[in-house]
Amino acid sequence: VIALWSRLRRRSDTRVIIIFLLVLVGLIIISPQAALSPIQVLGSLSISGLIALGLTVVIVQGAFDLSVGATATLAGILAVKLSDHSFALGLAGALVCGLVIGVVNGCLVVNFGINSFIATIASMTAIQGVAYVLTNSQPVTGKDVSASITFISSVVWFLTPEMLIFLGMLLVIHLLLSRTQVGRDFYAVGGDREAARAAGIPIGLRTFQGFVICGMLAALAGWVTAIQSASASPEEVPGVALVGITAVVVGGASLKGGTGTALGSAIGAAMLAWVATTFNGAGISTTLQDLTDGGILLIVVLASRSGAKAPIALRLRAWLAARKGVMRWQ
Amino acid sequence: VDLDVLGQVDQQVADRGPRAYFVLYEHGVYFLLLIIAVVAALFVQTFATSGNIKALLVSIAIEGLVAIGMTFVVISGSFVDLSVVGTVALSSVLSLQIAPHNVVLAILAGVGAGAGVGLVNGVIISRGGNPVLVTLAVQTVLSGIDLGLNGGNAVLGNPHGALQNFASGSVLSVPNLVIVFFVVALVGQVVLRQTQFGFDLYMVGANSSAARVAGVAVRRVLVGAFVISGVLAGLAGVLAGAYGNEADSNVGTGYDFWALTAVVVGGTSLFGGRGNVGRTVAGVLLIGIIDNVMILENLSVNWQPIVMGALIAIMVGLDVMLARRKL
Repeated sequence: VIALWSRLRRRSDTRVIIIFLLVLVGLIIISPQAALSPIQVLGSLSISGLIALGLTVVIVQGAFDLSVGATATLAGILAVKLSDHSFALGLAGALVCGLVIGVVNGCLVVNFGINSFIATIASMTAIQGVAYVLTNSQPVTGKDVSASITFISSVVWFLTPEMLIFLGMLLVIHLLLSRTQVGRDFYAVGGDREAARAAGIPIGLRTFQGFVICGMLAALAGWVTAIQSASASPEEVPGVALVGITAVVVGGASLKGGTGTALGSAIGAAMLAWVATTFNGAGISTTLQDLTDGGILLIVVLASRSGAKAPIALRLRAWLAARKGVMRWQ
Repeated sequence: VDLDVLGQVDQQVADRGPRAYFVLYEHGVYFLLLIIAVVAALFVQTFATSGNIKALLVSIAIEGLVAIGMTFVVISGSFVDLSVVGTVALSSVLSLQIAPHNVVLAILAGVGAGAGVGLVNGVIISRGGNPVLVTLAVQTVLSGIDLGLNGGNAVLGNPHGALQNFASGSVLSVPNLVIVFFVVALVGQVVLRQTQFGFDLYMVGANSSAARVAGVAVRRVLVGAFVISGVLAGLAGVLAGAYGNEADSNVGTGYDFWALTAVVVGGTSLFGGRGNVGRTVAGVLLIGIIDNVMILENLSVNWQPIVMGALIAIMVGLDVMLARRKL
């Protein structure tokens, strides 16, 4: 048991799971009825989880994508519009939209050398504008909703389609990051750029691929949202990027790049979804929800900032060791 | 290498390349502003009327204040202050609620709230927090607070209160808001160019570790930059509430990108250490004219975000390419 524990301790995911369990206990104390509805949580997790998975691929490389929310919005609008012709066309349109946005973001960051924060702020503004122009600022609704009803109501065991999509993508991204050369390159680029360059890794290409994957997953999330309600609104969905980034960072990724796993991000997203679901169920106001979302991100950013002090446990151990040393000298 | 204040590097670049290219690079935004203004005056019929110019200036004054504050943040090398949206809403609601009791207190509350937000941002960021994420988190917290203020209802002010009269009034047919904007711009420029704080700000933005070695209190300078941004966002909120005579959590929506675009279009470098308030004023006027012409020509307002996003991308791309050529 001790050997197993020491092996588990070395994995960053373990720490995330422990935090997750602690938060869960806290939530159950707040409101047992609202906290104990895992199916609802899994349902609301799918969309933010997809976005968090995409962001993981980018953040692992030390880059960022703030345009995921706008991408999901635009992809949802295209999906609703194209689904009038055919269901498959809607999905294809959304994915192509994500692909194009990923390519544009990648070009801005790789070819023009623009900082990824600023580049994606710019593309976010522009994408939002395209969404407004396409819909003339009005919500769009699908004409033929039969296909999307069939889609929603097809349930395997207790898993709805969006949960299946999320779990499938979790598996894909997990395998990509942990089992393939491309995935290892992603970590290398984020960990030490110069070393990665010296090792002959095509840094630009990898960053490009990261943005394309992120864009397509965000578009997939937008498609799922749009299909669920057979409608889409050009209004900016506030907090999509925020929840995604928070999930990834809570999941153990460093903002400097080089660390983070698909599983960790999924657990981070699950934690946030669980908090949101419980708060909703317990009738806690959106004010408090915004406060907790912002607070969580603030704490996480504080904890992961550059030059941050070691965790309290480590500091305590170092202090004790130092004391022991002093006492021995005396 | 990028010490704008010293001007030596710029001089070297000037010696290296053709003079005309250098002038165009250094002062491009002013030429662009001039060209666009002349084109608009020639081809858009109602553009060059005193009524339209006045409306244009009033429409940019409030967001322009936010852009002036954002200039300090960008010069310090911290990219952007995303929390201005929540700050504007917070201070507009606070000031409109307090205004019927005491006008001075109302202004102080609005500006003070902004200073407080700036202080929080600055303290965390100066200790190594990522500026984009910290201000995003603070923005989320603020939007929560804003939604809870006044029970989520819009605050309606007294249309004939002192604040409201000031915001809609004018001196010698120059609107008060426009006067405030230009006075603040002037003060900002003086602070940047004539004070120790301004000098330190350029040093920190150009190379913060070199500045630390040179004895600059880097953390204090960063806090100062964010407090200035917060204070000006607070002032913008007070004026926005007074001018519209209505305040809710949506007052500041979009101000962050608007201000960032103005700063970047003006040519203040996102790498930090270069730029000034004059450039931002030019950027603000440029965007104001583009918006105004789009409205006069009956282009759908939906196109506005596309134009803004494209402008940011083009200007930052240009900035990066020029920086590469220079180094």
